[in-house]
Amino acid sequence: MNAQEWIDRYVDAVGEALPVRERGDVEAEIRSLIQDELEARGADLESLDEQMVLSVLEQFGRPEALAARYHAPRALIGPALYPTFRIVTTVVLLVLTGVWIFGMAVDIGLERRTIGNPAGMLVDLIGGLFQIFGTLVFVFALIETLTRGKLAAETRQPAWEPRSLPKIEQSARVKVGELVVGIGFSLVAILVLNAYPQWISAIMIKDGQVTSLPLLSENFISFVPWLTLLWSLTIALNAYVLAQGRWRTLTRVLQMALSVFGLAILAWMLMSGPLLAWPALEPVAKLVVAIVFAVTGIDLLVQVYRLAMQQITGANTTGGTPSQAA
Amino acid sequence: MMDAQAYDNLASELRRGLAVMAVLSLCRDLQYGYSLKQRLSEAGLEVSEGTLYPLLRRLEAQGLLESRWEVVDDQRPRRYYLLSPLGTTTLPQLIDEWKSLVAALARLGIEKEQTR
Repeated sequence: MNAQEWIDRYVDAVGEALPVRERGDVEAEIRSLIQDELEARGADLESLDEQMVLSVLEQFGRPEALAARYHAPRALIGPALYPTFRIVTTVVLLVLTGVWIFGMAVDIGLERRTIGNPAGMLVDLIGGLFQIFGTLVFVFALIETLTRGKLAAETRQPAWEPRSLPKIEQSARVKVGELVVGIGFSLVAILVLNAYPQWISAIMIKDGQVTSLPLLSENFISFVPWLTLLWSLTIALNAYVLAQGRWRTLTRVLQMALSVFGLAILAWMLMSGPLLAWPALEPVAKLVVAIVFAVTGIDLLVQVYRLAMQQITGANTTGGTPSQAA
Repeated sequence: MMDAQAYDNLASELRRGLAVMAVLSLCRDLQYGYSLKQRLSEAGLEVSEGTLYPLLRRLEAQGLLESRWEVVDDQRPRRYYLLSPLGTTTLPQLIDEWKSLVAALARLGIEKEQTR
């Protein structure tokens, strides 16, 4: 191979790793710089020495490394966009998981089917989540390409005010155990009430014969889709809070909304017909529901009070201007 | 003992910052890539081709340098660089910055550290 061809190959390899709009110009410059270097070594550009050319190219370094230095680091999703991508991806994947669990549970509950192939269903879910994740990456990469540079410049624009820093609240920290137990309970409740309601039954032994009678009334079963929706949303919220590592005002408000939703279901259950198939136990069932209603209601009031206090104290500490504070 | 690769990275990071000021300073006169490399090398500031040549483009993109192609010996094109009006006002500021950094390092006893 002649020496000139090595130069052509090198220039081409550098150009290959560059964006099209920069390619021609940078290629011409690198070719010129290589020729300068060869001239400085006393080479005759008309009849180049192969060894000398190879030595110069070695000095210029790997083509892709040289090309990389000609432009700013590129990323599929850049640092300016990444935090938004992370939040959106977490929320979307968790909500979809919650919706999937709800849909599956209602489907099984209404159809009165049992779970035939749990592993297959899980694989379907994971496959679907990967698909959604890929779509989100594609959308964000597209935004990154269309807004390259502009986004970083915009995010630098607003002056940052240290007094806007939110107050650290002890209660904002996540109690992991509490959330995990909440998720576990919700999952078990969804699974049992939708797929295996017959498990909640009374076992009777009469004349040596063991019989089981369903404990839940038809009226109670009609609440199962609503309870499933509540628990699915609870799972999604708890998982999101776990991923975030702390409670924020938005998640607190969502939690309160779920409590209100739960109270509505419980109130409806109290006012509706019998919850159990056995009339003798009905007062006990209604009492249990009433206790759960009262506990949920008190918890909701405490949450509202705490959030209101945080907002008031937060407004007091962050509301003043620097000149007022001085 | 630090391994050679890690040390080279640290040293080239240090040189890269200095190279900006040195290149702008040299480009007060018309320069081309290789002439810059030679002048820097003669002065004892070794900057690799892979660092220097992309740096020229970045400085041009930032408006600190201007460039133009000229035909050399009626044979081949060569790109020349010259300090732009923006570069002319920025360079003295960078030199002041450099002087204050050297003074700060001296106050920290860096020079004595080196001779220990």
